[in-house]
Amino acid sequence: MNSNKKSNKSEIAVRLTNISKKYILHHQKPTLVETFFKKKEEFWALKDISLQVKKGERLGIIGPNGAGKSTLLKIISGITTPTTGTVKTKGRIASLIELTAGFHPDLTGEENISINGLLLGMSQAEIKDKFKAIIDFSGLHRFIDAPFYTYSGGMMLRLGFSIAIHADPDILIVDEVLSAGDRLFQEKCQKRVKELFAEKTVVSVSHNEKLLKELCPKCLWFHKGKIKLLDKTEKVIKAYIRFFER
Amino acid sequence: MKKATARQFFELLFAFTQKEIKSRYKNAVLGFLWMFLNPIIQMLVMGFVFSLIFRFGIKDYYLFLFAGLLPWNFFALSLNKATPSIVYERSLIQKSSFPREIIPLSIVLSNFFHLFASLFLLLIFLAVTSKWQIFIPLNFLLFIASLFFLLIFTAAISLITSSLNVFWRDIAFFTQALILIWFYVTPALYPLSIIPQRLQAVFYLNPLSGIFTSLQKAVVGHGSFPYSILAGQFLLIIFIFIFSVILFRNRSKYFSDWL
Repeated sequence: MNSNKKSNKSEIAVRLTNISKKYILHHQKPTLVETFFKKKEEFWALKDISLQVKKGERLGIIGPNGAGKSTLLKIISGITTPTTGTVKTKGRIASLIELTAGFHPDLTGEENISINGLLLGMSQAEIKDKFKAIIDFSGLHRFIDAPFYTYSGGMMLRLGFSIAIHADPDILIVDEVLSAGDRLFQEKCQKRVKELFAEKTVVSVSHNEKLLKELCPKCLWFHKGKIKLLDKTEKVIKAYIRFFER
Repeated sequence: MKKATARQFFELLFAFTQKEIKSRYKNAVLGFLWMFLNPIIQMLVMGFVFSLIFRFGIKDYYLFLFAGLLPWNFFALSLNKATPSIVYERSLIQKSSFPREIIPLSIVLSNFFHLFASLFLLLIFLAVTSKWQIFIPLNFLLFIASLFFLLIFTAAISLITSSLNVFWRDIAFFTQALILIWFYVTPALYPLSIIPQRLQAVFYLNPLSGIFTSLQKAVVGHGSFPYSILAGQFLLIIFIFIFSVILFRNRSKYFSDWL
């Protein structure tokens, strides 16, 4: 990697080299014989993708369903492994994909903060430090020692979001810019998301073109597992819309 | 998968184990009291029933039983619960990247914690009834070493079955059957000494036979197991453990594609 660490701006946060990802299509196999002897059907979700995201860069990703956007995010955040190619990332990655995935219904809000924080890469000491801030932001003081199954959907999201933004990641992976809770909380979130986006390296998938223009200067257009266009967001979205109007 | 630091790994493992233990008693009125009530009831029933049915001419047969059945329960419960654990936690695995080993290992550890609680009761019982044999240093050492290797072995088998179960869901069914068979070929209900001499070599192939015979020896104070074979089994367990970690690491890269 780059030896002169002083030049922060040009440091690479995410480097993907010749990434391909193969999935096996699972069909219903009616007989045992077929299960073992029928040829496996393959599906390439990503084909030879190379991509670099510099530190502090905000990259938006657009593309139709099934283009490989989510697979790419999963590979960057380490949830799955590419079939070929290498992934190099620098720093803590937080994926704001599903905020409530790490919660356990039988534990209290407090206990869930601990577990979710650890899953997001925080240390126990860090969680302790930020504990109060997390609860404050979520606004769930009264319910924080209640078991999680008593929470409403909105409350779960609020807590999930609050933990995620306090995890202080270096790289943020976002699948559809978040909207959690009621309008008041949403406004609070959007404000905080914008602040976060300004400081972090961001890779964000969205179908909301207006929001992408606002948040990400650069944009990537994915089509059938390949990069179709990588340019300024304005240009990419224009080309993208034109492509589908034809 | 991004490599977690050792600190992260153990903090997460500890938190998950805690979660596993806490969530089990969370909504029970008697709460953690169940941790001790359960093994007491279990031992009373087992002691009563089995002492009536078989005896194998063993002095303090009920003690002999506890020494075998409590650790066996740990092994069987852990394996039964850990095997499908990766599949059960699919939503977590699809959404978050963390060392996947944590899931089966936390189940094994939480069960080990329960085994500890029940063995603690057993030790108190032994002390109160002044059956001091386990407190002889050599017996105690054997006791601790056997428990340690039982833990390692259970973790190893759990890692293997839980990772393979992601790709072949038959493994969970297979494991259930395996546990049942394994129970009867392991000297837990009966002493190894009732097995004819020429068949004992076959039993030595089962890494659990040494562990269970040693536990019984430590608790009841009689029976024996050749140390050279015990050492061999411990070594085998270490190899199986290393193999299981490598296998799990290798397979876990693709878990999220199959869930």
